[in-house]
Amino acid sequence: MNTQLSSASSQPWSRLPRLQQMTSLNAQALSGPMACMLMIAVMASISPGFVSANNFGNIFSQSSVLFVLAIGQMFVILIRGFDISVGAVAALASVVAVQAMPHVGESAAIMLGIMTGLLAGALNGYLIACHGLQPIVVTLGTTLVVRGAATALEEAADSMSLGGDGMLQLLGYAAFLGLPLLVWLAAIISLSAWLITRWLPFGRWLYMVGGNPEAARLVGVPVRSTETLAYALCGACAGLAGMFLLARSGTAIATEGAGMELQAIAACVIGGIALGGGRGSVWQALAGALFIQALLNGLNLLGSSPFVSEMVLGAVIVSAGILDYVVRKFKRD
Amino acid sequence: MHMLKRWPASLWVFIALFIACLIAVPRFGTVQNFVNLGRMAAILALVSIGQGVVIMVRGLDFSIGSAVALFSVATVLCAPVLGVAPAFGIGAVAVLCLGMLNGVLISYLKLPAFLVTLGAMIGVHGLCSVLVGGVPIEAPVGIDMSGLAHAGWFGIPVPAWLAAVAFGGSYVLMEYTSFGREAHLIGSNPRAAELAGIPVPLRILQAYVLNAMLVAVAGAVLTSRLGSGQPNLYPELPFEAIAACAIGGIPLTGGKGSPLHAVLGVCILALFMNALVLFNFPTYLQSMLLGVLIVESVLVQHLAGRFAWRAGSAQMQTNT
Repeated sequence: MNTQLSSASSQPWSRLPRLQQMTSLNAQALSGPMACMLMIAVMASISPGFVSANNFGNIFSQSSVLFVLAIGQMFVILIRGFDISVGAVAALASVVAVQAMPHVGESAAIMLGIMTGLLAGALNGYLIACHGLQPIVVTLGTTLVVRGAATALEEAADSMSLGGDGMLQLLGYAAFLGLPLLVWLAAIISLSAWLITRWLPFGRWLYMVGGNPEAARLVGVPVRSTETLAYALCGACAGLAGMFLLARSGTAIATEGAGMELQAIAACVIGGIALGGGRGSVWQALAGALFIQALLNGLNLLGSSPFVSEMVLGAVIVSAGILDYVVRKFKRD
Repeated sequence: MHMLKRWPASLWVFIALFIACLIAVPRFGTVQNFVNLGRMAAILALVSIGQGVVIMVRGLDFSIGSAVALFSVATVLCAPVLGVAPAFGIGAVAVLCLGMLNGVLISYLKLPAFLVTLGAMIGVHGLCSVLVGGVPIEAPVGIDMSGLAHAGWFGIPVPAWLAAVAFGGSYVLMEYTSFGREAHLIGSNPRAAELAGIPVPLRILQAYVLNAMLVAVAGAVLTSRLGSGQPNLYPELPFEAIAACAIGGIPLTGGKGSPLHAVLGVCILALFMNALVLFNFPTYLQSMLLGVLIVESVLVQHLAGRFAWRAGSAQMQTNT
């Protein structure tokens, strides 16, 4: 009906749908940051001690791991996928790095950890993109394999702690301008992820493949390579998150990072990144991650149990969906 | 030959694996081991049949692990006050309400199943933990809930009978009733189903409710076996159920498969896990091999499907 109207009417009117589309798109992109600000405002008003430079520093430093994981997850959600293996991959990367450190030196070990993540992600991507397998089955399989490998490596080793004070220790504890170095590193990664999605052809391909894979293929986008690369990037982010975990705790634990994958997906959902693919940006993923961390931190300061925040988080995820429904309905009417 | 082709490929895999286990695995062919195998497979079979029905209508349910935990927590909390049987009723009602909520949000509000059930998974786990204060809660002394899990009938444990009944009922429902045909159509083409006058949202809601009923039965068996309310009762349950459906040959894109596929997937998975335990492999190796099995089986199905398609089109060319 709408299309009939626009095709029949004169030019100014035919522009209307596009304008409408643009405004609603902006509203969707802003919902994450707005929800995040709302959460901070609510927490500031009900939770004493929430608003202080010290506590904000805390929130940021706690969320650095989630920032990196959420950005990785964003890449694959953009192409209509998701990756539930990132928690296990982060654990494996940290175990590999700790094992390799005495043999190859620190920076090489860190690179090796990140490469481990990249390889696991590339394997996921190869199976999903080149064989058309379902992301959930493949990444579930990788989770089991990777978690098993991490446990095997851990059992074979004598020590899983970082010795002395190396670069990683410094990363975990040193601060610059009041914020821990890890946060600065996460900021640099976010910025480069934004540059990738915004300015590189690969970034545009991500959106095209997510929006309509068939159309993307017809205009010459290398769909399979794009998908594989997105999963590889997600894996590399997971490897990096493993390094962050290592820097923060000083030890590698094979069971670490369990549940992180769900938080990362939740961060993207709360940020307003469409699970159907093709829409979303780095800032939305960051806003979602910050939302989760502010929620956990604020409720913690209130003295409530972590399980209450889990309940609230679940309700928030479902509400994000309902909000999306209301917006869609409003748009249609 | 025609009849043979109608059997799912996973049946042959199951038979081959079973014979291989009989020959190669020590202590596999004992009665005690088969009883254990039946106990283990029964719970997974119940939830996988439900998951298969939901997958049929292009859905997914991540919340079933939290749902069985909710069952156990609600039952154990209510048992001292109400008695054992009504407490199981309360647990079942709680799980059914959760399934209804999921179903309404997914069918009538058209929210992504992934998002809704993920939220329910996290939120309900939090709710269970809050209810029991974060630690498992034992049923008070004097309250015996173990009847359901440990009773047997003709030497076969009751959970296995329950799974068999669930399989029979759901097979008839999905293959021989209009509900089943409509669910198939919704899964393969929702738009066409709507145009054909099928009440699509209602059917999707019914699929989720059916799933919740089966999950409630599984929750009852688990609660009865453990006699305690645990927020972390079986967190990997949804993933095992989805893996079982995938191994059995139900594509996650919907519209294909039957409860038979789900049950065959469960049998293969259970047989494999049982063999790994009997071989006394270390836990990490079991986990790794399980992961390889899951990916490998979907990969093989995909490649076999492509091969069959090529062979089919080649045959068509020679015919014309």
